[in-house]
Amino acid sequence: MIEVEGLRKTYGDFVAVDGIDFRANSGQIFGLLGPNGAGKSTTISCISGLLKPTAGHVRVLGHDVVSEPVAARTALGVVPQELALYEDLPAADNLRFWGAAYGLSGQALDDRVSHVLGYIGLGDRAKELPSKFSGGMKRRLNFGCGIVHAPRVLLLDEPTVGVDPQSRERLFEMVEEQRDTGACILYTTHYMEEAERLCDELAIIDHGKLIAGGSLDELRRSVGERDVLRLTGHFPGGAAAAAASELREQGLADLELLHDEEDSITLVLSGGSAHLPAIFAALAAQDAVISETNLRQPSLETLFIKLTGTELRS
Amino acid sequence: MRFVLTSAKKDLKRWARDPGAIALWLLIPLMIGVLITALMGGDSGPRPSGLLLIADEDQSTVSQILTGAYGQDEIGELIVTEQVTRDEGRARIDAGDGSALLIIPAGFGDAFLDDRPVTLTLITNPAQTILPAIIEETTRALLDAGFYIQRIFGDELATISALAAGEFDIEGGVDPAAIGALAGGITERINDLAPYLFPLALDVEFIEPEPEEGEAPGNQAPLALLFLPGIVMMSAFFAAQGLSGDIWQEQEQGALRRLAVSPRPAILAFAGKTAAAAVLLLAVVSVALAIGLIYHGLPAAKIIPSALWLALSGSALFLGFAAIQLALPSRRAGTIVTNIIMFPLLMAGGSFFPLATMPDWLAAIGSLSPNGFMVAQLTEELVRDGLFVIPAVSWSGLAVASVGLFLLAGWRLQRVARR
Repeated sequence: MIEVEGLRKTYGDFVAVDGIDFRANSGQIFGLLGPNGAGKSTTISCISGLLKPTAGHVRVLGHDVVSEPVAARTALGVVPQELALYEDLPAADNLRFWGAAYGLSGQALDDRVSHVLGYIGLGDRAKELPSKFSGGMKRRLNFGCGIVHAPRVLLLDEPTVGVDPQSRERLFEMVEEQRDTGACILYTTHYMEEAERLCDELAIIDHGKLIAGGSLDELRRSVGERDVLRLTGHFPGGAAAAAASELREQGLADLELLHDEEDSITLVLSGGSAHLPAIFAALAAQDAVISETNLRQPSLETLFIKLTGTELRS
Repeated sequence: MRFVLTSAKKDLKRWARDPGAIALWLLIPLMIGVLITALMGGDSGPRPSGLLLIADEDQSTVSQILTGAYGQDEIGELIVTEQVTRDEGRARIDAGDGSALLIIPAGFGDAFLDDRPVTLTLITNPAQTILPAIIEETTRALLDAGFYIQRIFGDELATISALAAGEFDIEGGVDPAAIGALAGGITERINDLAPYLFPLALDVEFIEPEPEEGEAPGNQAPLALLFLPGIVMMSAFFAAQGLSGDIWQEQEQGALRRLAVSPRPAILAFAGKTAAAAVLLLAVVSVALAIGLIYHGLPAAKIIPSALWLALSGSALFLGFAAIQLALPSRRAGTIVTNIIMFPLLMAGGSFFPLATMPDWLAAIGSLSPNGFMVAQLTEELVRDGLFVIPAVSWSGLAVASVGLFLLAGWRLQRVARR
């Protein structure tokens, strides 16, 4: 398992991670979500031992990553977002080297290399160079290098970026299989559908802070049944607030203005599609100009928008 | 230790997939070596010879003895003579055809026998420097010889001249008494000189001068051989610089970052890389050395200490370049800076021109450079008799420096891996 307590990382005056706490358990896929710059990568780097926390503790299988780095790292498998392979070394030799880096040797290493090659679907390409592989094959080999030593804790940092749908599906299956073997998996992604499909538990980070956490069902419930309406255009100062107030007086009691900027606003309300004409009219009365409308059903993505006021991929 | 070996095997496998680079590390220095050796004339092959045009207007026995003297023994290997007329000779020298023109005027033989002044004219080709100078010196030596012959056998030469002029003719031929007197005179002169000539009253002692303090080793070695250590070191230099750039390759491929999160310290992988570099360097310099040893006819056993020294030297250079690369922010900066450092060092350190052929001040600077020290030690090993001539203090000094550079580069690598 991974235990993160009061994790804080600063660079001078800049606070990259500000007191994060979470716990990812064995046999569980724990999703870590957040927009770019939220502190996600810094958190991952602190867990993997690349960065030393300014404050707080990170433990991997009970081993503190600062005071017991070798034990913590031995238990950890890392699949980085960027490919981390020797492109000029055959696939089998890549696995062999990374297995040796985690202490495997002899027959045990040979067996694991052979097993992982078959597992990632590269059994017949073992002697070929990754430089000749497709993007999906490289991603699978990248994954294989992270699991060759059969780690009990696995960090997956956006492992499906740039992967074709077929390879992505295979990666999902492999991640789920790792979970089913009892591994603890920390999974970061920009793709909300991946998180919804894979993750048993989630934490959402923004501006270095944990802003929401829990199981997928718990988070969905927190969104409620309301739709998220995002409007783009020109909204003079106070126009959105005035329109929202008027709409509430007209009967849209659960309407909530989440986000109000000059070029976009975000509203949350029940039955959004039925109330669009009234919303447009109220905004037009406040001299607002609408150029784009985006209405979303309740989902993890809408929760994210609700919490951060922005889309995950932005 | 097992991981160090695994890491070394991994790097050797990767580098073996780029035989073109390895070939270039060998071929470029060898090509430079062949060019330089060819320019210096090498150790064998036909020697250059000067063409001496001779306009013999005297056509006497004495003039023929003089012209024949240019073809004697070792002088004959350096100077080829050709009889021409005065005008033809001038025209050919003006056209640059020939090293010099010697004009022997009419009456030269008589003047020599009569001990009268006479002028020989030697016109040299200004487009050439060494060969005309050799001809000039040879001519001076021959004239000096003639002077001494005149001093010793002056009376006899005068008698020969008189005999030729018919002054001793009698009816039926030459006066036998005159011939007898001439023979007796020559015998008497030779008898006078015999104690000094048979054997020569000269005791020649050959003393090899002690090398001056600070003098580069191997000053007495054949010039072409002196180029060998620098050229082979150039191979090691190129290989060391090229291999040091592999760190950036690993960084760009993300391997260093993955290594940084593994339980094995990155410095262990770097130890493996250093071992792989040493093995590859040993292979590269062994090939270069083998070619050089065969070319210069040196004992094959010399390859063992020389290749080991070069492998250690190359490893030290690899570590030095790696430390520099790792102190810089990018591959581009690393490549530029190491190249800027490498070529002046190659120049000053005796890879293009041996330290022994450099001006003293430049040789002093070069011998202070790391590769200058390495080349000087290798030169000792190659030109002196015996094996493992390089002193133990040089081996241990270089080994200690290598360890220091390894620790420095390894420390930097740990930091770069976390970027």
